[in-house]
Amino acid sequence: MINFENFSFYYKRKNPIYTDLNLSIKPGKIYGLLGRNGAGKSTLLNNICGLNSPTTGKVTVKNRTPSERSPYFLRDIYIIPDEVYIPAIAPKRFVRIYAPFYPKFSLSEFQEYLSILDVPETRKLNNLSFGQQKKFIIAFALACNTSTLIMDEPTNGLDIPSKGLFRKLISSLSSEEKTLVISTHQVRDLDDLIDYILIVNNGHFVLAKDVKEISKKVVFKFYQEEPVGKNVIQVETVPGGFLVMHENEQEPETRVNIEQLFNACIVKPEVIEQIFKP
Amino acid sequence: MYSKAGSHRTNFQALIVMEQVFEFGRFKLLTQRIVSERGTKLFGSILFIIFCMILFLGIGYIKPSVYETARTFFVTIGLFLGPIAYTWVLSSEYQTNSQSISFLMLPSSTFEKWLAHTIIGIGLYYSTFLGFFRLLDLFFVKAIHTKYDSTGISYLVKDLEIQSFDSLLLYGPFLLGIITSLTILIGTLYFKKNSLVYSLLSVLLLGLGTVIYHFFIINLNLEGNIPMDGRSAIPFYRVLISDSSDSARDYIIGSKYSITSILSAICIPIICALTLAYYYAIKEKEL
Repeated sequence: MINFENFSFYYKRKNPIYTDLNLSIKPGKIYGLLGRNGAGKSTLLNNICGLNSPTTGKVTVKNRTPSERSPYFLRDIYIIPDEVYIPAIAPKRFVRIYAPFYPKFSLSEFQEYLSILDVPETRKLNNLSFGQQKKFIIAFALACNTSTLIMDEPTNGLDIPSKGLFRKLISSLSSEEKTLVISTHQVRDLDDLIDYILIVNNGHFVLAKDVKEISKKVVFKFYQEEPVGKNVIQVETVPGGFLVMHENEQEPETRVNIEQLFNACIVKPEVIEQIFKP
Repeated sequence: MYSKAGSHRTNFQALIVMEQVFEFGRFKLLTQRIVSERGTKLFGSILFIIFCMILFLGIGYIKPSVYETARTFFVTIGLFLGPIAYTWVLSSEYQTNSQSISFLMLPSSTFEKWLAHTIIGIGLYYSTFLGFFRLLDLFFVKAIHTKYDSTGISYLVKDLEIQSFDSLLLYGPFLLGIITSLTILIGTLYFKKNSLVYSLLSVLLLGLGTVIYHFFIINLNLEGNIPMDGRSAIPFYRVLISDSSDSARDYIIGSKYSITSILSAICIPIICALTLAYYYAIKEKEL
């Protein structure tokens, strides 16, 4: 369980990134943290990992304070940053050095993930392309079996087939004890993957809801003509018609179009907040 | 009964806290990681220094009249400039965000990270350097004496001895080298860009500040013309005062302590403070 209590964070007092934020991230779900570039996604993740500490308020991860960076805390959390660091050593050596730090590391799972993600064998890790290096680290991070896994823009640098493999791998992972937080600004990459959506804009969460709850409250439909009379929230023109997001007035639930939802949160945050008001 | 159980519990809690701070297994893993990732560069720079050592002392062996000069020159470079390159390689742990994250998120304690860097960064370099230096110095000094013993001109090298570890020419660069190394390690945590330049500038400013403070204190308490000569710049060692009414007369007010004792009294507290500061710099490091 990750808890933010009255969390505020700023580098400069005049420009607060987060103010008085309260949020609970529960285990057993995949959280998608979405926001524009510079919205503060990485800052939030860094606070979860203890790489930043709150200016005021409190962050706890399984009742531990991340900024203390105690070994017990660190061996149960793994962060994949936007740009991964890969030392110029052989893959086997990497595993020999890093795996013993994580007590639940599984070599067989690691090999399986490498094969799923299609990471080629290499003599030295720095010979791999950026995307391959990232996939190697993703496989390693998953095999560490830490209860909290943080991924900051994991799909950056991955080619289209690799993004598909990544989605396939993540969706196959389910554990009641594991908390997975994935941040991205490429919202399409998380389609059908996440259970809970966190959309951050201007230092606060415009939306922090379960996907099931979202699909109960809004529907996403395609119309050949622009609809009139419905509680339309957002319309996007596409070839042949319109993609429309509107309030669900007792209609069958539809698949959540994360990209459209995200755009609506950025363009009409007050409407979204009104709809999802508790 | 209760108090015994309570005492066991307290001991157990203390053990857990201790294990959070230091655990040998974790420390070994951390050291292995540093050696695996940076070993080639670190050991390479040590080997390079040893090679230079052999070269310089070898030149001195070929031409014994320059042996002491070559040795002094090399010791100054090896103890002061060598660690700059060496520590720079080690401090690359923090040179990019991804490297910082990788290092800070390693499941080991701040104390272990600090200890590993201090041992590998300072301890390993200086112990290897001084160890090899003593061995090679012994070897070459003995070889020079042997070479000249069979000739009739052995008196030319009769005063040649191995360099004492407490001589100013070795001890001074040694202390300054440690201060510089620690400043570089701290600097890479604080300065995101050009950290080496800023760290070296910090050392320079520290040295300059000490000298200025020294001359300020002297001028406050003594009258006369106090010229800036090399040894008078070493704080609290000696002061040269020239008498303006009698150009032939200069006075030297000297300390009763040796120059190395004074250097120790100034530099060792600075080294302790920097070592402690490095620990807190790792602990408080944020992205």
